[in-house]
Amino acid sequence: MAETLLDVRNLSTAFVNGSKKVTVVDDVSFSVAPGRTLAIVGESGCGKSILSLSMIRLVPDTARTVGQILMDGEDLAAVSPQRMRQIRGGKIGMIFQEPMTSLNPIMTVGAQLSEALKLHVPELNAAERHERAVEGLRRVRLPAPEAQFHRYPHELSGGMRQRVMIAMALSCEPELLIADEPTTALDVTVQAEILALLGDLQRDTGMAVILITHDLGVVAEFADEVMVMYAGRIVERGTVGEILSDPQHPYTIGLMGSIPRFGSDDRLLAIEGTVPALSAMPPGCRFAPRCVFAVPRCAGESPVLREVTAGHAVSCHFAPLEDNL
Amino acid sequence: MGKYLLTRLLYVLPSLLGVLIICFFLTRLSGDPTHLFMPVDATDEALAAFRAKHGLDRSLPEQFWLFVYNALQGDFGNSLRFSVPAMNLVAERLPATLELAMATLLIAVTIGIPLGVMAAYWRGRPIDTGIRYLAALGQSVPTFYWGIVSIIVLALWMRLLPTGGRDGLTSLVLPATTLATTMMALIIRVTRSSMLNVIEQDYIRTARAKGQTEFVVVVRHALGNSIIPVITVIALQFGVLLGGVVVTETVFSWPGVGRLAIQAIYARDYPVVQAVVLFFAVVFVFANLVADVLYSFVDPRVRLK
Repeated sequence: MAETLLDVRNLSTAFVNGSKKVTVVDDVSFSVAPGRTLAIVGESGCGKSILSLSMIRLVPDTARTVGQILMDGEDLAAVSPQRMRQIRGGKIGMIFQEPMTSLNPIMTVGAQLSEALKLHVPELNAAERHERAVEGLRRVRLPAPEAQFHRYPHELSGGMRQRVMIAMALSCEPELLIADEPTTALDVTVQAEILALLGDLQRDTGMAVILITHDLGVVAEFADEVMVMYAGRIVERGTVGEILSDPQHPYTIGLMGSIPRFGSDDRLLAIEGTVPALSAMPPGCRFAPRCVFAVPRCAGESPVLREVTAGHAVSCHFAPLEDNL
Repeated sequence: MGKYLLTRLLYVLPSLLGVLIICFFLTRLSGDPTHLFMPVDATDEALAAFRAKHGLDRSLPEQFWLFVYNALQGDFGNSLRFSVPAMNLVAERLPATLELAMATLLIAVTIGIPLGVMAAYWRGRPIDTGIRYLAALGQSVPTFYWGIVSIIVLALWMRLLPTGGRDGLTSLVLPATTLATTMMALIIRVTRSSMLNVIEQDYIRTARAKGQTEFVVVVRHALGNSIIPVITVIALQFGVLLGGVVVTETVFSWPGVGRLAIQAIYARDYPVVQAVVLFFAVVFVFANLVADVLYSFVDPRVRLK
């Protein structure tokens, strides 16, 4: 890999409550190159949202994060709160899952866009800010951007609000966009539009995107690299082609089996059991209790993430499966 | 906006009519005041003359009709005690009460809202616990007790402030702070719980993700969205405030409408009682009208099309 924009090393986030400590993100390392898209995939509660919030240090007070988050040689985990505020919304834009509730209901769309500009591009005067905000709304293909500027969030549909969120996240030309389930709450047709829009904007700006999703269809369409998370850990990492056509971790294989395919009469495969509670994780492989290939060793010994081919890493004692089973 | 205001003003009319009815019949419940004002040995003719003069000899519906008719013109009849128009007595005392009420409101809001915000922001920390104890104390100790204790401590023992009367700013401090405690305590509690709810919202996270400072996140984004319940409580508490005015003015010999009310009630000077009660009711109704109008300023979703 040539350039690296973001390099996350051994990031862990734990919630501490008195003497109880629950690790939600466990020793995660990955990197993103400029202009590329990394998809973080996993089911609800696997720690992917907390991971994204950890990167911009917006986890709740009760959470503790350790590890390094290197961006342009700067460790975001160690910078001052003031510097972190410059980075949030400046170098890193973020959009969230819930467009319906992610905008402040008592401020106009324009005021919320201008707020970000005022913080990160202070040299603009009011007229230039207005112009740039309207331009931002036009860029996300909102109809009548000049009129939208004066509207309140409740006057917009979910898709329109997500466009406003995108416009806001991109208003200060971030190098990295973190999109946490940006289309989950939207209609399927709106989903496709928003994804197409994100793709176009990424091509135009050259920004890197971290896309957090549980939707493998979205991954196939949009991602360059994929990282699969299970119970707070990375279980598999590789290019989108490798992950989708040659999944190596039993969990990833299970995820693939659970996607309905058009024209196929096969039954959908479900992964048996449920994710263990974070406070009661098995000492070995966290997927072992649900894994069809599990042997006694899996329950006691935690597998390490290792490359099976260049760039394709799997956290399983048996990887690559073709050779070892 | 103009139309909204007009519609809202129309809603005020039934409330005011209700107030007129209650006010009229409640004062009549206490019986005929004639004997109270006439000498014990007054002749039947003299008593009849008194009744005729004040319209007490007519039937209740007739009296009511006259009362409403006159009240609408601001005429509540003459005070039985002072033989001057009742409304003049109220108007005379009004500046003192307004001064007290405004000072009270100012203290309660400027202290209550910031404390509520701080308690919510530092939830569970010692500062939150302290503020909550303060609020519980303020809400549970009655106004008259605060008044008497503050007079004893600050006026009698420490001689920092006058015990009562209305003579400049120093004499305003004790009655206003006394009256403000209950309201402030309530504002703290409502602000805190409203803020706790809002601070968890997604748009607060959005504001932070933008790189906004904590102060602006809390004040513009969180407080702006938390303020409606606070406005509601202040408007509703206006009634309690007016009741408190009566007690506090009496404790501190503050020459306001509240003390006038107490004196008029003791004397069964019902034109004055009616005028005061109606005045309080009108203030209360309009306080709530102001609150409704404020909602639409604060929250665009309230604005009627």
